[in-house]
Amino acid sequence: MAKRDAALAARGGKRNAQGVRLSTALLWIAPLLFLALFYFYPLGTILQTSFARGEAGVGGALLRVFADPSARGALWFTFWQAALSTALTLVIGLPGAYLLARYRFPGKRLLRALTGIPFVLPTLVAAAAFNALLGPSGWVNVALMRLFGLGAPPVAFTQSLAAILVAHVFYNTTIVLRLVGDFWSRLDPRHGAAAQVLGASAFHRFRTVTLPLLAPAVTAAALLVFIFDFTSFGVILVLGGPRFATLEVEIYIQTISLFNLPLAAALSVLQLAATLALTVIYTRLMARLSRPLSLQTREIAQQPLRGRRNKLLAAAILTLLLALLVAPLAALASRSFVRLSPRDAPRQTAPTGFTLDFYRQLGRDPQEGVFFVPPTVAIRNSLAFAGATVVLGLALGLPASWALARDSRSLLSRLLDPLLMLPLGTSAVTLGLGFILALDQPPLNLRASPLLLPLAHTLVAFPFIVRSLTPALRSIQPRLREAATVLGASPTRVLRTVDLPLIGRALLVAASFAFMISLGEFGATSLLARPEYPTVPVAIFRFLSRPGAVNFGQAMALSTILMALTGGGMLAIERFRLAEIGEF
Amino acid sequence: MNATSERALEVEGLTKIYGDSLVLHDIDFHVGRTETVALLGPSGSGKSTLLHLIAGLEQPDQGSIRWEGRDLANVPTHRRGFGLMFQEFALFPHLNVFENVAYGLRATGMQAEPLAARVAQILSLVGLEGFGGRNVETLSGGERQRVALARSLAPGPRLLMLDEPLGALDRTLRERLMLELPRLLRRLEQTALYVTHDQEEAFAVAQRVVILEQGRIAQIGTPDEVYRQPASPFVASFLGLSNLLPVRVISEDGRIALETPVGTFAHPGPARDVQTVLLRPDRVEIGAGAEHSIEGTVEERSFRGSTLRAVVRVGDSRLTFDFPSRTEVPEVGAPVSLSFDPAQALQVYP
Repeated sequence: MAKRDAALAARGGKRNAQGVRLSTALLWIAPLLFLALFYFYPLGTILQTSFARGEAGVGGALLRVFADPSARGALWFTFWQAALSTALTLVIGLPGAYLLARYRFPGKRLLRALTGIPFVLPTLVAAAAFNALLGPSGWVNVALMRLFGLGAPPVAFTQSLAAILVAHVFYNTTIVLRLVGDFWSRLDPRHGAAAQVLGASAFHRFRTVTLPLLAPAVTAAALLVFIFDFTSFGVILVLGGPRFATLEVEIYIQTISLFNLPLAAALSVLQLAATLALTVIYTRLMARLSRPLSLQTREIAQQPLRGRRNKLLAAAILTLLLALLVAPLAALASRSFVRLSPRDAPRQTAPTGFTLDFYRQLGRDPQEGVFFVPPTVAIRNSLAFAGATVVLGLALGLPASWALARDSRSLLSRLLDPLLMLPLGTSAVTLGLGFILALDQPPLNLRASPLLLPLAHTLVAFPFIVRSLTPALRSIQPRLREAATVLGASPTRVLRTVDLPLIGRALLVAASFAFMISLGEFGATSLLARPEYPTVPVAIFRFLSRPGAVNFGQAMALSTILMALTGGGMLAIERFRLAEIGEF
Repeated sequence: MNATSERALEVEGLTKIYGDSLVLHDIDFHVGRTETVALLGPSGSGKSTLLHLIAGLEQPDQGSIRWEGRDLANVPTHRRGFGLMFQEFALFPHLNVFENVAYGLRATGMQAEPLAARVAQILSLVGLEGFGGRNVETLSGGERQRVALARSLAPGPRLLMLDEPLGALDRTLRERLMLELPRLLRRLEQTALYVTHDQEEAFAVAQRVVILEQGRIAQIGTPDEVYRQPASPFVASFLGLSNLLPVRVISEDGRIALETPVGTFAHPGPARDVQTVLLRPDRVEIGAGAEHSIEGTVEERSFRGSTLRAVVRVGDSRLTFDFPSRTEVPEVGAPVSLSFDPAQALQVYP
């Protein structure tokens, strides 16, 4: 009797589990098809291109890289600048993370939001911002020239290694603040207290308790920063100048200027291998971090700032963070509204001081042949591409996240989860190159399609979308649905009144990420944008690489507009993201 | 007419299997109209599963659940008109207190005005006047418990099920609510099923208790009945009556006697199956006053407020007693004599 019952139940259970597994598998179809067509197929084409020419297969391709002095130089430079940038970012970021994690102080929310802006800022805007602060006609040089009556700008910041390093720190400090700070703030202070009771000194406590607990978070942050520095493109191209080339820049130059596609493909393979390895380690670490570790709610773990020494220390850290993260942005915004010399006017001389000319100029037809279209058209293009990216990204990201959230322990999910993160570790320029190689010939010719850029942007935004949606979907406890059902809600009513409102905020966050990433994307766009359909970052790049105060002013104006748009997006994310979810 | 004589909920032959394990086996019990029945058992005994089956959140493998004689097998959860208060409350984080409480009413399509009045009435019933606009995330544990209770009461459920409703609360709050909750249920004449692993809670809240042991019913009765006459050693030890002693049955001159570590006693009934005997701690006193007395050594004593717990070694057995705290109990290591009336203090089990 009992045996029959058991067999009956086992069959029923199996049928049920099979049903869930089947519908989960169905959810994967669209996202996987998308990744297959627009990620693996282009990358496969790169591999093919890079190995097809060489007689010796893989070895031949690598040999070609090492035989080329500029490629060899790029490889070496990519590694050490990324390592140095990462170290500097940790030095600046860790004290800030400590401050945010352990103390409550007025203006903290604002500081958190402000320090979040650089991370989502398009590289071109960051480059423009440092130009506005420290470039030849940036505020610092202008002030020094006026003050001392100099004929040439005294500070040679742009086109230097320092500019690259500072820009990287500017960009990635947020990662350390967020990732380490969030984790630190939830570490139970009682661990420290317990060690204190056991007689450990403050330093000993830090070394034996805090540091080991914090180490995975710090390592994860360092890895992510390293990955971003390793694949840095816009910053190097604009701030570093022709003397510096990372792999990413080298791929771009080989593709655009020299049209040496096999070498570009070989470099891509090299870069891909390195970033993939790093991404896999990062994903593993993050999985370990999300394991509950008797994490504490923030209120308990934080205390108000007390004592003169603590306050002074906090003031010093805050000043440094603000100077580094906010000053360039302020310089950029102010520089776009100011004419420094009467000769800087578009046509005739005009009074110096406050002006809207640089903005007005954006609507005019182009001169000097910089563009085929006025820059306002670039804004319109960017907005249209961003809108398409949001739609595509959500349409593909939602089913993938749903499948992940529903069935996170199944083999399928465990295999596919890191797969979805792959685009995060793949450089955008490589993706662009892959699109050029794969998608401008049959069977899939999209070269002239307006969807090409949104597709590329969706790929870049995909990991962010999935990472925003999955935790939210996962956080809808089955209990809540059951509670609603017991209270008399029909299944459709449960969906409408429980599921949708709960993931609504996450949807907004994901959409904001997609929108901002598309607006600012430059790596893939620089290779794929057609001259008659420039995006805003492409326009900024062209303005910045031309001489003349009017071009500079317009770059500033466009960058300021882009900064405002992405800043707004960031604020939306800050507002809507659920407090406990902070994976990036 | 006795209020509990009219059967509202009837559960018959209910069986639930997960994979290879029998979670519930052949469960039979009923809940009378306006009665509160407690499902009492250790964790893993199948209490919550039973609630989920009755709520319709899970389907039984065998057996039936009937409401006023009508089989519920084909009635989906949201049409059963039952209320369920979840263990961790499961409040909707995206709705404020008012909307949480109003949720079940909105599902019935109630008009705005009567709905607002009903929510206000229920909130004041649970002592949360003016909390309507509050965000549920900002509430304390006790406040959340009240919101959860209000939410499940608001639609006027035919049967209210409470799954460990006081489990997440601190002791003071629990003890207060243990008094308030039955008063409220009585006042509303609410038919209720109350799940807990805490006998104190079950006894305080329910008119009858159903004790579950590994998916089977171990005993059903009033709190008084089950405490006086635990049906099995399991029930006895689960209720804190832990002095279970091994027995050897001996036959002397055709009369049967039970040899236990605390003495040998004549046994009137058929004794073939007797294996365990319970020495009820509440029937034992210090000193040689009662019929049968034994000598032992005090091994531990701890003061517990109103009682004093002593562990006494008698031969190879350790016996635990809770004496009123004014009792004179010798120091640890000192000899002590205990006495009891075997007819009242001893219960035998197969």
